[in-house]
Amino acid sequence: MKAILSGRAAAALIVDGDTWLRIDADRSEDLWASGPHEWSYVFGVCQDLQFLDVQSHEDVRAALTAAVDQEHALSLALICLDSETHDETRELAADDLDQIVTRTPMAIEFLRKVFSSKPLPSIAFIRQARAVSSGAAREFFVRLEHDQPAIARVNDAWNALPREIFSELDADEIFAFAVHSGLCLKFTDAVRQSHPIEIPLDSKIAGYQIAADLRRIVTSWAASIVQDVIPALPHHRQSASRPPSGRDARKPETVLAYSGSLALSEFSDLLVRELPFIERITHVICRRLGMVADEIEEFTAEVRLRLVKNDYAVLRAYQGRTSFSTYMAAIVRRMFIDYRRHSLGKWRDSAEAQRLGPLGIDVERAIVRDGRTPQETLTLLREKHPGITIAEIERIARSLPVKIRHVRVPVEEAESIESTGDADRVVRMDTAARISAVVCAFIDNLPAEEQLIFRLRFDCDMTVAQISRSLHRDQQVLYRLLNKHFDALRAELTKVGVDARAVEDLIGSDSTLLDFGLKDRVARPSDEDESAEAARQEDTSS
Amino acid sequence: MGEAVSTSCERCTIEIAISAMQCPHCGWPGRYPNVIQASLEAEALNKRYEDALERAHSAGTGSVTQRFEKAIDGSYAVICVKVNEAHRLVFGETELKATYYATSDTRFPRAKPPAGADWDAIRELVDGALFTDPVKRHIRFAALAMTFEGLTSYGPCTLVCDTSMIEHRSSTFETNSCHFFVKRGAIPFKDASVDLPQGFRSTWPDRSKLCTAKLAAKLAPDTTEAEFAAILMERGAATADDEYVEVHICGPISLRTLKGVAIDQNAPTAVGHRGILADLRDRLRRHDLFLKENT
Repeated sequence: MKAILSGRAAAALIVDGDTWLRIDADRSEDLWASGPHEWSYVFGVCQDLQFLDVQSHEDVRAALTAAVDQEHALSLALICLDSETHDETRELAADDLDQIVTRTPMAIEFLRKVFSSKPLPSIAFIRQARAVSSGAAREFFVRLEHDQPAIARVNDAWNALPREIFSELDADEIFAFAVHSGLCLKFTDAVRQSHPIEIPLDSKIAGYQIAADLRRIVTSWAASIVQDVIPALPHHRQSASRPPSGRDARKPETVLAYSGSLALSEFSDLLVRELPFIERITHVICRRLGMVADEIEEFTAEVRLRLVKNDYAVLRAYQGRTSFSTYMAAIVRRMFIDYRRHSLGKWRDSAEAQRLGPLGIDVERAIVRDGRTPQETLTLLREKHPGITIAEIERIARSLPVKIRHVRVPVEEAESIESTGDADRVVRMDTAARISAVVCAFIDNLPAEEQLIFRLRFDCDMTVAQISRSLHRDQQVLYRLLNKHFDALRAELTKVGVDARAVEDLIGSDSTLLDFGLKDRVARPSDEDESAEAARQEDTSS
Repeated sequence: MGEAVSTSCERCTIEIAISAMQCPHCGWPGRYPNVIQASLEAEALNKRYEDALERAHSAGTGSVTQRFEKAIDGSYAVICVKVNEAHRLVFGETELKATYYATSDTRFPRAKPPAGADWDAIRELVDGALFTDPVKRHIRFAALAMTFEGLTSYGPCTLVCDTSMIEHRSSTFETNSCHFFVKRGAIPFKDASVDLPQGFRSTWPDRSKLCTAKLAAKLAPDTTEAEFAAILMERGAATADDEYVEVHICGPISLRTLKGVAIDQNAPTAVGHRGILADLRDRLRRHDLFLKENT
């Protein structure tokens, strides 16, 4: 047996085979012969239709009574709350409401669901309604008044959802689902009690064709509420009496609770939702690390791209061991470092800065790497290095080796920028001269045989194996010997403020600037023979 | 259904579907498909009407038929609903109503019979009754009445429509349209093989012609004007036996659409009705709508 009923129409149609019967709530004991021709008159434009499989007429009567009581309860509650209601009518309505909710407790739940949809308008007479009511009705009005801030917050979060998230879906219908399924009420209770939000949606929405869209929208809504209001630590881990604070927002479990159950395709929605927050973090970090506005925009785009890469691997990797804010801040900072390395090359503190200690390193990074002025550097470092003066910063800056600072320019402006090649070359020559001097002095202090080994290795480009065969020396011994001298040489170079990177740069690009005087050293016997032979040949010819 | 499927827009004259409530080409609004369809059947209706008059003259009821026809010109569209539904309508256009009644009314998804073999047969009937023609979604069903008492078996509150608010968008039909189609084997309605006769509907101004065509044969030379109302609307032992002229009102109905409400005081009351009825009466008075307590 099937039944279609409407609480609003206060009637039900029963279909049993070819037999149609009607039950009116006002005379529920009576069964009236009916048929499909009555449909428009029985239900009119009512949309609260319920379609039931029932065993008996009693089942229909029970369902109809409950549905009608719910509708009556709603009308009576609105009468109580309306400012235009006469006082005596309000009292009558409040009394009726108490009778109904006492008879049908689920009517209270229905009222709470409907009234959690939106905050009461300012014209509502909530205090008057509370004053004239008693029993369960009064409890309802007291609770409704108490819930208003939470209802407003949940509703604000709904209204703040970007319209694009609904695609072609009807936002009002989605909202109606949220109201009738009790979701609004759950969110309201969670906000009021500072409880974490749970989304027990699956069983309720699985049957709908748009279940995935529905889940996505509700998830975004929940996240929006959490972002603004809810402390999301699991209840057992938080103090119930502690009010929500700013630091509580975006706790890991909350986001994890959502992201953990998301399909891959839904991470894009998660990203869209979290993007404003991520971009805010990015801007803060970039500004703090001295990036200029244009570059920040470019880097922000890079962050977006990297969050999407490999199927949102970064978002998926979040395991909730720290707050989402902290996690994202760490990720963005790491991306920032990579970005800087990629665009400007890896930064290395100069040996001189290292020698000067933490202050020297910080000053070099601020002035040489980030291009700040001494005044800006002073502001930046004052907290970390109390007592520092601008004069001291300038003194340290003068003592630092000259480094080439990369400056990013738009490609369309690149042509108009004068080449700095001459200036670069001066700097490089200066560095090369210092390196050459250190290396020459070092080699000069070596025994003659070891000087020979250096010459064969670097002037004649012989491999260690070739040198080993030529000099009949053990290859491993030669390796150990060279490595020992390299370490010593590196230490010497560091002492004068030259780091390995500078050497690499020169060797890799302009080794002609380096002169270790290998050719000027005492000639080898073979060299002597060659030159003597050459002189002899010249004499003979002349 | 044997109906014309297209007509031309009165503004741009391009051919458009009758079911269009707005011209899809020039956007001309205010089209009421039910009224257009009825006007297309005017010729067939006139034929029925003239035949009925001729028979009436032959039967010696020409005079009473003329009086009946004149009385019909003053008839109303009435809708009978339950107390709660009437209260919803007169609760007013307050923010409270807009907020919570609207929320309560909206369902997700729109109510449809669930899937399943047993439900499919019902669905077929229901779809036929409600959903086949998209225009039907916008149609409110009423009955034509000469008094402020409607088909109270559907509810004790008779909503009486203000004619000036509905005459431009209403049409009348011979009887309960669903019943009419069922009798002719047209369920589901989409069964195009059923050829429905023309001339059984009218525009609002022509409703007297329709009523005359339908009911002239029931008039006797001594029928009084007091009896006209019962001839127009016969209440049977069961609702299936009710006989009346159906009114199709296209578009919404609000408090302002009403002339007043008549309440059947003999109807049983339920828990909650005291407060709702009291408020209903208060608001009707406040909005200068008539309130008639039928005893």
